[in-house]
Amino acid sequence: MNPVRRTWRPHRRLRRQQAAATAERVGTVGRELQAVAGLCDVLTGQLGAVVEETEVAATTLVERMLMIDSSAGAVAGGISDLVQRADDQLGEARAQAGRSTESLTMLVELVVDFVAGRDAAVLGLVQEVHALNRHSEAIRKIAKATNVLALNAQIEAARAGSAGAGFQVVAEEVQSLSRTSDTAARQIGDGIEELAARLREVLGDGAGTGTTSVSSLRARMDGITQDNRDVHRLFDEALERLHTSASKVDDEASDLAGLTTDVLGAVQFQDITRQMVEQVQQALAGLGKRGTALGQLLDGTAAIDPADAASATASLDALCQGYVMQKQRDVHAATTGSPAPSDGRCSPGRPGPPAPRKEAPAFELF
Amino acid sequence: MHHVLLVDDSKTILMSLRAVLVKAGFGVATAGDGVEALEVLKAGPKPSLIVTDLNMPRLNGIGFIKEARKTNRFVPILMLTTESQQSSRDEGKAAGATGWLVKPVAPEALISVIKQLVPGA
Repeated sequence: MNPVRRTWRPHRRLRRQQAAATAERVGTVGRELQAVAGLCDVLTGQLGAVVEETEVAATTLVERMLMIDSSAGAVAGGISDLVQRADDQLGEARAQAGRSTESLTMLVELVVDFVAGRDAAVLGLVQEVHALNRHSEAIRKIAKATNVLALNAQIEAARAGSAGAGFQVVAEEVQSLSRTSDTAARQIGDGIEELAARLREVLGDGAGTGTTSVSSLRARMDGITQDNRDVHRLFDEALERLHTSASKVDDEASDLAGLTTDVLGAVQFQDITRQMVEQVQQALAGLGKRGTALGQLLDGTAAIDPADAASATASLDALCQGYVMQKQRDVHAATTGSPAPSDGRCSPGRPGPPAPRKEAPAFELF
Repeated sequence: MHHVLLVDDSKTILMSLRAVLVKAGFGVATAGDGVEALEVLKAGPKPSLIVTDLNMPRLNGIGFIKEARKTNRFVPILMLTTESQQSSRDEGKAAGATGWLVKPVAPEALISVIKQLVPGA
């Protein structure tokens, strides 16, 4: 047996074994690569669900904010109406209080005039009553004089003896009459004094001037008028407090309206993230397609399409060219180490120093 | 009342910006892409201003502006888009856009620009 041939056989077997192992590995890689497409489909579907969920959340947020805005507007409107009604009603009450004060002042003047007139009349009566008392005093003086005359008559009658007996009777009657007259005059005087005292009581203090009762009445009426003015002032203060509170509510409603507007503006985030996610979804679709093509190439079930044979770098560049916002380009540049775009366009995905960044304005009128 | 036509393929953008503009006292019509926007323009009434997105299905913002300008030469048209690159702005300007706003735009900034472009708004 040829010794060379004998040693070659084990090498050939080893190579066959190695080739079989390689083919198995290639087959495994090919199947795995083709499975990537399914994985990418799932991920794409999940990202689609994320977009849907954020859209539902964003639209719900907008609806809720509009409801809040509407409620805040209704509250502010209600407060405004309330203040207007309170203004009208308190204003009317204030006007009525004013008219009442005016009427009361006029009434006070009338009553004071009336009472002053009445007091003057009563004072006149008191003076007249006092004048009557002078008449009763005169009667009493006459009664006293008559009594003296009666005494003298009795003395003269006694001197005349039996001839004066008749005269004696007359003198006694005259004396009795003078006593009765004196008593009657005193009683009249007492009655007049009592009447004068009662009239003075009617005037108020018994002084007989009539001024104190009027001033007392005026003081009481002035007190009522002051009470009315106090009510007036309380109305004004209540209105002022109401206006201050309403103004605060109005300011807060205005702040709330501003905040809801800001939130409505902030909801734009959903559109921005949606576009970013859509880019990722497209990239995943391309990745799955490329995995399938490479897998089929490896297991020999299909020849690779030239379009799918593009390099990973070319795929990265294509991805970059599809971006719709600067944020995506910045992330791309930071991740790949490629130069950051200076004019908004993506640079080829090869490493390099960052290019100077020129910020485009967020707002520009042409 | 001044009317604004909002064109965007995002339901969220249409809802939120519509609310912002209505709160500011504008009447608002909406369209989901350039084709629908042209139909809205054709149906009337003529808006005082148009705000349009750039990237939309069927007919994008640039295409819409070119078509809209054939019958609406003087209506201000603002691009409102996530895109900020100068080449796209130049393209928008050449198509007939009046201005360019990058999303997200602050509501008060949007209202301010519209008031600047629409006399009496």
